[in-house]
Amino acid sequence: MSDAAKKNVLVVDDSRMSRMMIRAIILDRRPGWNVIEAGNGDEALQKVAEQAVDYATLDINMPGMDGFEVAERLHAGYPNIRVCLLSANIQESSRLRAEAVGAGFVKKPITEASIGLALEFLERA
Amino acid sequence: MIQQPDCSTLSVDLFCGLLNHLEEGIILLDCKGGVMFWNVWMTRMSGVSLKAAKGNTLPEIFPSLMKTRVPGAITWALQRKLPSVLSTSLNPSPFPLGDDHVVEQSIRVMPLDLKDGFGYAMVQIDDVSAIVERERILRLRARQLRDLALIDPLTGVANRRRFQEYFDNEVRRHQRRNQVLSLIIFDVDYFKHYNDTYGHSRGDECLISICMIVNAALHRAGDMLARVGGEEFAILLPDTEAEGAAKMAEEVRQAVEDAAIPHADSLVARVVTISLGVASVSLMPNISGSDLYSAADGALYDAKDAGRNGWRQLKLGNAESGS
Amino acid sequence: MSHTVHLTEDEQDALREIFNVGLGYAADSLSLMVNDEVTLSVPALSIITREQATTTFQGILPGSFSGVLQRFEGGFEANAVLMFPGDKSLELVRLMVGDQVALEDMNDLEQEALTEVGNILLNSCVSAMSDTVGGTFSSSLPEYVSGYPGDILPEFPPEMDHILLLNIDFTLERRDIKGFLLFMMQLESIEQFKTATMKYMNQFL
Repeated sequence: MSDAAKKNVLVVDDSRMSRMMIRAIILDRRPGWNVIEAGNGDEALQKVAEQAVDYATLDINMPGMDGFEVAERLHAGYPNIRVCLLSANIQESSRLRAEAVGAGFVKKPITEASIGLALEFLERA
Repeated sequence: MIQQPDCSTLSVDLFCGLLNHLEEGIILLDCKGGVMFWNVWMTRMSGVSLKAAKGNTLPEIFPSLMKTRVPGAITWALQRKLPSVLSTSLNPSPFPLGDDHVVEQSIRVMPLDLKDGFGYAMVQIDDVSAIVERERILRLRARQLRDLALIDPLTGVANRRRFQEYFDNEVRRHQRRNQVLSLIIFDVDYFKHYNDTYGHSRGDECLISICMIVNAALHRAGDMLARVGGEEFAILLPDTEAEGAAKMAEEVRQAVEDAAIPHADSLVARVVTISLGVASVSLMPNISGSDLYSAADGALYDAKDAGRNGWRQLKLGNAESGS
Repeated sequence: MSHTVHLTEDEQDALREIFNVGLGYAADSLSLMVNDEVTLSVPALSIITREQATTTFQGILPGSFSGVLQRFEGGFEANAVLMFPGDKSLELVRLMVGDQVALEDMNDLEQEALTEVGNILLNSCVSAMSDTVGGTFSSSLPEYVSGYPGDILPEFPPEMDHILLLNIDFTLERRDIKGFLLFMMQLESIEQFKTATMKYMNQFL
C-alpha cells in the first residue's frame, strides 16, 4: 500500500491551543501533510482563495461566522474540499446541517480518537 | 438511664420499616444500576413488586424511562458520583406511576458511598401532583386578575386602560388606511343629583343599566363601549362615518330615555337621560388621537350647553363636506 | 496575601476549551429536554481574588441574581455557582419550561427547573474538568440560590480565596442570555488545575 499522498489540510478554530493540538495529531498520523491554520471564518476563506486545500476541519463555535456557515461557503465555492466539523455539541439539528453540505461531524474533545475519526471521514472517497 | 442504641445495633428490618413508611419513593441501586431495594410506596405506585424488580435496572423494568433523563442521571451518579435533580416542569412524569391519573414527580438521583469500595446510587421520587395543581390554579387566578385589569369591575365594560389601547390602535389604523372613524363621548345628565337623591348603590345600578342599554344598541364587532370616567363613557365606532355615528348617538340617547329610569331631581326630564358628543373623521390621516378626543369632548360640551338629553356632532377632515 | 493569577492567552484558550466541551455536553442534554437548539459557550474567563469580587460584580452583575450552587470535592475543593441576572434567569426558565405567564417572581416549580439547568451545567463542567486533569469529584445536591453577589460570596469558606470566573452565553430560541459560572477555590487548587490542563493539552505537542 502506498503512503498517503501529501495533502493540504486547513484547520479552522478560534482556539490557538486547539489548532496546535489538531495540527500535532494530524502530523503524527500523517507526517508529510501540510497543515494550514485559520483563526476564524474570514481567515479560512482567505486561505482557500490563496492556496489549494484538500481537507478542512472546522470548529463550530467561533465568533463571527460559525463553522456551519464556513462549511456552507466552502461547499458552494470549493466543492472539492472535504470538510469535517468538530464540535462539543451533537444536537440533531447540527448533524442535519452538516449533512446538508456534505460535511462530516465529529464530537469534541480533541483527542487522538476524535481526530482519527475526522481523518477517516476526510479520506473516504 | 435509657441509652440510645447506636445505629450499628439496629436491625435492617427496622430501617426497611422506616423506609417503607415514607410517603415518597426510595430506590437503592447497585453499581450496575440494578435494583437492590425499593420501598412499599414504589411497589404501590408502580404496581411492580420488589421481588420482580430486584436485580433489574430501572429501564429494564420501565422501558419508557429510556426517553427520559433518568438513565443519564443514574450513570452520572454511579460512574462519576455526581448528584442530579430532575425537576417536575422539565421532566414530565418519567416513572409510570398511578394507574388512572398522572403523577407529577420531583426526582433526585444521588451517589451513595457505603464505604465498601463499591458505588451505589439512590433514587428519591416525590409525588408533587398537589403542588403542581396548586400552581396551575394560582396561575389561572393571576391570568383572571390580569384580565380584570382591563375591565371596569362595576359595569363589566372596557375600562379606561383598555379603551386607550384600542383607541390608539384604531387611530393608527385610520392614519394608515385613511378610513372613517367616529368617537362618541357621553355622560349621565345630573348624575350627582341622582346619587344625592337615590344613594350611590342606586347610582351604580343606574350606570350598569345604561351600559346594558348602550351595549344592546351596538351592532358591529369592532364597536367598543368603555367607562372612561366616574359617569363618563366612550363609544368607539371604527369604520363608521358621520351619518352612521349620528344615527347611533340618537339611537342610544332615545334608548336610555325610553328605559324610563326615574330621576326626580333631573332638571331635564323625569327620567335618566344622557348627553352625547360625537366626533367623526374622514380622510384626515394626520389627525391625532387627542384631536379626535377633544373634538368629541367639545361636542359633548355643546350638547350640554344646548339643554342636555341630546347630542352634537363635529365632523373633521372630509367629513365636513358631508351633512 | 492573595495575588492575581495571570493567564496567558494559551492558558485562557486551553481552559476555555475544556469548559466549552463540558458545556457542549450540557447543551445537548438541555436541547433534548426542550426539543430545540441550545448552545452554550464560554466566550471569556478570568481568575480574580475574593477581594476583587465585589468590585468585579458591581460591574458585571450589579443587580440581583438567581442561580444554582454545588459544592465539589475530590481532586480539589470548589464551590461552584451558576449565576444569571434576576430577570434573565426568569426568562431562561420560562423559555425552558415553555410557559409565558407574567408573574414577577419565580415560583417553586420554576426554581426547581432552574436548579436542574444549573445542575446539568455544573455537572458537565466538572466532568470535563475531571476528564482532563484526572481525579474524581463528588458533590452536594444542587441548591437554588438568589440575592446579590456581594451578599453570597462572603458566605463561602475564607480559604477559598480565588474565583475562576467564566462568562457563559446561553442561547435558546434565538434568545441570548448571558450569565456567569464561578468556581470559588483555593489559589493552590486553581494553579493545580491550570497546570494539569496545560499538561493535558501539551501531551499532543
